[in-house]
Amino acid sequence: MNDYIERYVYAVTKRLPEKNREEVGKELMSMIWDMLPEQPTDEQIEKVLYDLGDPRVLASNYQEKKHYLISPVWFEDYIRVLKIVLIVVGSVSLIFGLYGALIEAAGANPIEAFAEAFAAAISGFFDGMFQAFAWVTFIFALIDWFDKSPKKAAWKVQDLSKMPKETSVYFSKRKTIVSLIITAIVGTIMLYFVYNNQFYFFYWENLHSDAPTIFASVFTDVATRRYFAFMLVSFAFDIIIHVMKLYYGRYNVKFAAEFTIQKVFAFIVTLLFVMQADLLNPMFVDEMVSKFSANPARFEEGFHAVMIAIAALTGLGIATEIIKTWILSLRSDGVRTPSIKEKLEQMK
Amino acid sequence: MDENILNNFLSELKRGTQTIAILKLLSDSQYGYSLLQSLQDRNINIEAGTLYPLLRRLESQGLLRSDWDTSESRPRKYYVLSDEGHELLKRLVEEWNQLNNDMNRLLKGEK
Repeated sequence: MNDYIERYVYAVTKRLPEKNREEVGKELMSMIWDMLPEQPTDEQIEKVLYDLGDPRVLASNYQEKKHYLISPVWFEDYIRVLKIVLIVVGSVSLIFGLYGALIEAAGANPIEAFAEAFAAAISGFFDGMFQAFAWVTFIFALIDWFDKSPKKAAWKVQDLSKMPKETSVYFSKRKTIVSLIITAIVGTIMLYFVYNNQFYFFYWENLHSDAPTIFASVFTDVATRRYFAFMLVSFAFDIIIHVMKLYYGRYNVKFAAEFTIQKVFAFIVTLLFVMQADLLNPMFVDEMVSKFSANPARFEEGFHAVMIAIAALTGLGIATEIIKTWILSLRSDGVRTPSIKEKLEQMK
Repeated sequence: MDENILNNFLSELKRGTQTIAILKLLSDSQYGYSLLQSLQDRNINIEAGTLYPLLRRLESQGLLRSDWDTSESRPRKYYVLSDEGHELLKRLVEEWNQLNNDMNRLLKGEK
């Protein structure tokens, strides 16, 4: 006689909580023997075990509660968020990987450099995807776990999200993704330059000269280093706003508020950068002054004026974007009252 | 007609009635396999892999009591309806009769 019965019972009980194992094992054993004649043959034993079915299924039938990492109630949301996050993380990590590897490989044989960059990008891509998958799953498992706690308040009708109105203004998914990719590239390049303080002013003295004349770095190391952390946060905000666009799908007041916070933060960061007293590199000033025989005080004044103008223009651009977003969001939520012209059109 | 769809509906339809049958048959003490046979004799086909875990669940809900009989060569676990189980069975049978009447009237097209 074979040992299939013991093995089968073990296959079931090992999947059960410790406290039930012995009892269930004993019971199952006795039930299996009941189903068999005296002195059973191997074939009879096999038949009975096949009748009882897959031990995994039987064990799950013995579990009193169904165990889910993410229960069906949350599963749809989980898949929706997972899709968005994977698209975003996938494209961003691919670009970052490619870009970072290309910088590192600069100067090497171009074919080798490209192959290496490609390999790095692929590995970065998978790494990013796995991380994203793990984090989203972890967060949803937590949400699900808290959601089951008895203290949880019942849902309210007031919490139901507003119906998309006919007035809804939608984000273009394609444009958002393209913008996200551009933001990621430009953002990393900027971060790279700021981190290494590589803002150089250069020009070609005449059409025939091979190499341009390069001056000392425009900004001081101290000023750019100080600024780096702010810029990193601002960059992260910008990425988050893009993700929110993909998540909401359409303009709404909540988005407008988040957008405003991000833009105002970005503007403050720009202002802080420009207003640093030790921003301008004295070496750069010296070189410029001697090169163009300018008055140092006038030069610094002019430089500050240009920086303030840049900040002001940025501010103006940001203000315009914020206003536009609010108008579209209010319209999208159907809050904004229609103008007289629109009313007249409705009456027709 | 898709047999799979039919089977899904049938297993859903039978699930609740199987519990009533099990509770009724356990008014007298029985061990697992004899209960399985009594059910099959009455044309109520439930798989052993479904029945055994179900018995444990009903016991943990306090509807059944169990005892190991060690007098025979092999020990057997006997299940029997508890007082609470009797109470539940009575209510379920009432509901079942009511449901049966209502469904029959509906299916016959009466108002």
